[in-house]
Amino acid sequence: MSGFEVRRHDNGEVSILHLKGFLDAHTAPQFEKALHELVKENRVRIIVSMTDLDYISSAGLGVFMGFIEEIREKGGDIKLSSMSEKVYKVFDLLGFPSLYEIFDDESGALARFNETY
Amino acid sequence: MKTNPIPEKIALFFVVLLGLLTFAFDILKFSSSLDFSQWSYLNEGINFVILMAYYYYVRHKRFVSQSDIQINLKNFIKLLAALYIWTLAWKQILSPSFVTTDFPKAPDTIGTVVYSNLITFAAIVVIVPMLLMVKNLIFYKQKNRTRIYLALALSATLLGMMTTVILRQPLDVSSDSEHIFQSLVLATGIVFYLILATHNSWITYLSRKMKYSYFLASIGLVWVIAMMFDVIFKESVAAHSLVVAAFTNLSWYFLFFYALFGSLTFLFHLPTARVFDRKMKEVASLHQLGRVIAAEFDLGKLVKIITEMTKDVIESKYTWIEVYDDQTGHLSVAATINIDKKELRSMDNHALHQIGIQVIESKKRFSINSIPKNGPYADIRSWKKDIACIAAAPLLGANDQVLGILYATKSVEFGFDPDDLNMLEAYANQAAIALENVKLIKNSLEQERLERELQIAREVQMRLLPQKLPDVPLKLETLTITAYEVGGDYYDFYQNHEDHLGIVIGDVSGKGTSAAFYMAETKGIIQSLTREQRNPVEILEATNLILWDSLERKSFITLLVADINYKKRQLSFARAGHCPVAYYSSRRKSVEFLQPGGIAVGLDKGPVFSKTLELKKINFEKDDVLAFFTDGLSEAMNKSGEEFGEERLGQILTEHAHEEVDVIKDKVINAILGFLQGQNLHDDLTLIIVKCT
Repeated sequence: MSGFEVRRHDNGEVSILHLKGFLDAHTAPQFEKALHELVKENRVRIIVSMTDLDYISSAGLGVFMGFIEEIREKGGDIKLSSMSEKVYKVFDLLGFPSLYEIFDDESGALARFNETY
Repeated sequence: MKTNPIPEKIALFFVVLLGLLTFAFDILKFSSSLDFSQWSYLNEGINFVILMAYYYYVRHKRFVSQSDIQINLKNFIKLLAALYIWTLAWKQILSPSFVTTDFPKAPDTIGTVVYSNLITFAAIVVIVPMLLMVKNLIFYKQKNRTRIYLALALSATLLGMMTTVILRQPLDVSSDSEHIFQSLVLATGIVFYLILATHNSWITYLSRKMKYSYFLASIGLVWVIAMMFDVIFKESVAAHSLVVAAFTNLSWYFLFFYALFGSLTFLFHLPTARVFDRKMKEVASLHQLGRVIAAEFDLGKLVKIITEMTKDVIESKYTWIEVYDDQTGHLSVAATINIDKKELRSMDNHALHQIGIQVIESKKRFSINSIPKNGPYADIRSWKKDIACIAAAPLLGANDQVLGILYATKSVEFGFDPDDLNMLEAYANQAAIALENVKLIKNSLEQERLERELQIAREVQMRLLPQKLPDVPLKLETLTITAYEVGGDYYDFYQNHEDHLGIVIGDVSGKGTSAAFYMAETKGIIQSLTREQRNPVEILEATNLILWDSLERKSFITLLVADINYKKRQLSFARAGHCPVAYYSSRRKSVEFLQPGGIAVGLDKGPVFSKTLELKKINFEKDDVLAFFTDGLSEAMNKSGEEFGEERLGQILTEHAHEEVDVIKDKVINAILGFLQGQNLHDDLTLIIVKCT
C-alpha cells in the first residue's frame, strides 16, 4: 500500500489540510488526529485539499462524518477542494456533494469562508 | 551404596584377627629373643593383607565417597587430628623407647611393642581414608590422564613397599651406593606424587572467603603433615611392619606435597579470588536470568528479578528500574530494591532527571563515581545522603529504542569499577530482551484475538447472506468474494408480495465485528420493513431514520433497494449512496448505468436524505440483464493502482449478455482475476446478475 500524508497549513482563521496518497482504514487515524488537533485548538474553519489524494475508502469518508457535526456546532465547516475526478466520483456516489461544499481549488473554498464570516 | 555388606564384615573381621595375630607374633619375638627372620616375610605378608582388607572394607563408606570439597577437607583434618591425639596419648601412657642401631629399630620394652602395634593400627585406619579423600579432591576435575598418574603413583608405592621388605632398608634419598636402589624407587614415587599434587583445580572454584580461610588453614596443615612422620611413624611403625612403614612413609611424602602445592595454589589464587568470585556470580546470575526470562511473562515479576540480581552481583545499595509506560508514554518506576517505590515516584530530583535524559539521548550507560565533587549532581545527595556514586544504563530494544533505564547506587565513592558498569549494562540488556519478549507475546495474543474476532465476523457475515436463490421466473446468479479483512458487503432477497422480487444490496463502512453487527441490524430492519412496504424510497427513508440513531457517527451504509415486478417486467429502485445498477438492454445491445440521486444511510438524519433520494423506474424486456454490485467490484485495484471500473463490467455484459447467467458470472470472475494478477482484493466484492425471462 502506498503511504498517506497530512500536511497542515494555516491561513488566517482558516486551516488547510493537504491529503496525499491513500486514505483507507489503515491511514484514517492519521487524518483523524489532524482534525482532532484542529478542533482542540478551536480552529474549525477547515479546508481539506485533495490534490494529491489517490484513493479514499469508506473509512476515510467516515472521518469527515465523525467531525462535521461538532465543527458545525462550533460555527465552523469543512470544505473540500481540488479533488481528482476519481476521488470526486466516490464522494459523489455517496452523496457527499449534498452535505459538503466542494470547490475546484483552495482559493474558491477560502473565498467562501471569507464571505461567510 | 550398592556393596554387599557380608564380605565387608568378613574383611573387617580379618583385619582385627590378623592384627591380633601380628601383635602376638611381635610379643613372641620380643619375649623369646629368637631369630624369626624367616617368619618376618610372613608377618609382612599378613600386614599387607590387613592393609588391603581394610581398604576393601572402607572404600565405599559414605565418609570417603563425598564429592563436596568442604566435607572432604573437614574429614581429612578430623582424621589427622585424631591420629595426633591417639599417638600422643599412647606415647604418654607407654613412653616407648627403641634400640637405635639397626633398621628397623627394635622395640626396647614390651610397652614399646604394644605402642608400635597401636600406631601401626592407627596409621592404617587413618591414612587409607585420608588418601581416599585426597583422591576425591583430585577427581573433582578429572583430566584424561588423571587415572594414569594415579595408577603410576600407586605402582611406585607398591614397589617401594616391596623393596623395603626385601632389602630391609629405609626409603631415604642417599648417595650411598648400597642404598641406591631404594633412592631410585623413592625418587620415582616422588615424581608421580608431585604430578598428582598439581591436580588441585578444585581450589579454583572455591569462593573468595573460602580461599582466604583455607589458605590460612593450609599453612598449619602443611606444618602438621610435615611433622607427622617424625612424630608419629618414624620408628614405631617400622618396628612392627616394614610394609606398613613404607606405605606410611610414601603416603606421607604424597600428603605433604599435596598439602604444600594446595597451600601454594591458594596463595596464587588470592589476588584473583575477588574477580573470580565475581565472574562466577555473573555467569550464574546471567544464566539464571536467561532461564527466568524464557519462562516468566509477568512484567512486574521480571523487573523485580532483574533488579534483585543487579543488586546481588554489583552489590549496589539502591537499585531500581524505570520502564516506559505504554499508556502514558512516560518513564515510570517498575521495581526497586532498598528504596520505596512511592518515594521514588514522588521524588522530583532535577539531577536524577538530568541523568535519565542523558541516558535516553546518548543511549549509553552513564556513571558518576564521586557525586560530591561534581557540582551539578550534588543535588542527589540532598535527597539521599548515602548515595555516593550512581550508575544508569539504558534498556535498549531491538530497534535501538530506549525501553527504560536501570539505576544503581552505592554508598561509597568510586564504588563502581568497569566490571560493575559492564554488568549493569548486561542486566539492562537482559531486561530489554525480557520486556520485548513480554510485548511480543502480548502482541501475538492480541493478534490471535483479532484473528478470532475476524473469523467470527466472517462467519456472521456469511450467515446473513441468503443461503439459496429465490424461486422466481428470473435467471439469477450471485457472487460474493470476501476480502481478508472482512468488509461490510451485504445483499438479500425478499418475496413478500405476489409477482414481486425485492433485492437489497449494501455496503457497511468499517470492517470486522462492527461491520458485521451493523449488517445484521440492517438486515433485520429491512426484512421487517419489506413485509408491509414495497416502495424502495419509503423503505430506505425508514431505514435511514432507524439507523441514524444507532450508527456511530463516522459509520454509514450504502444501500440499494430494488423492486422487480417480473410479471409486468418493471424495475423500480432507489439508491442510498450505493453503486449504480448496470442495465443491459437486449434491444439496444448496450449497457447503461442507472444512478439516481441519494446519499448513504447514516450521513443525514432525514431532510437531506429525503431531498436527494430519487426513485428510478424502468420497464425491461426479455433477455435484458441487470447487474447489482458493490464498490469492491468497481474499485478492485491492480498492482499499478488502476481500478477495474464500471466500464469493464459494462463491456463484459455487452459481450456476453446473450449467454446464461452462470456464464456471465464466470466471465466477470475471470476478467477480475485477470485484472488483479494475483493482487488481493482490499474490499469485499458482491455481484448479483438478473436476466429477465
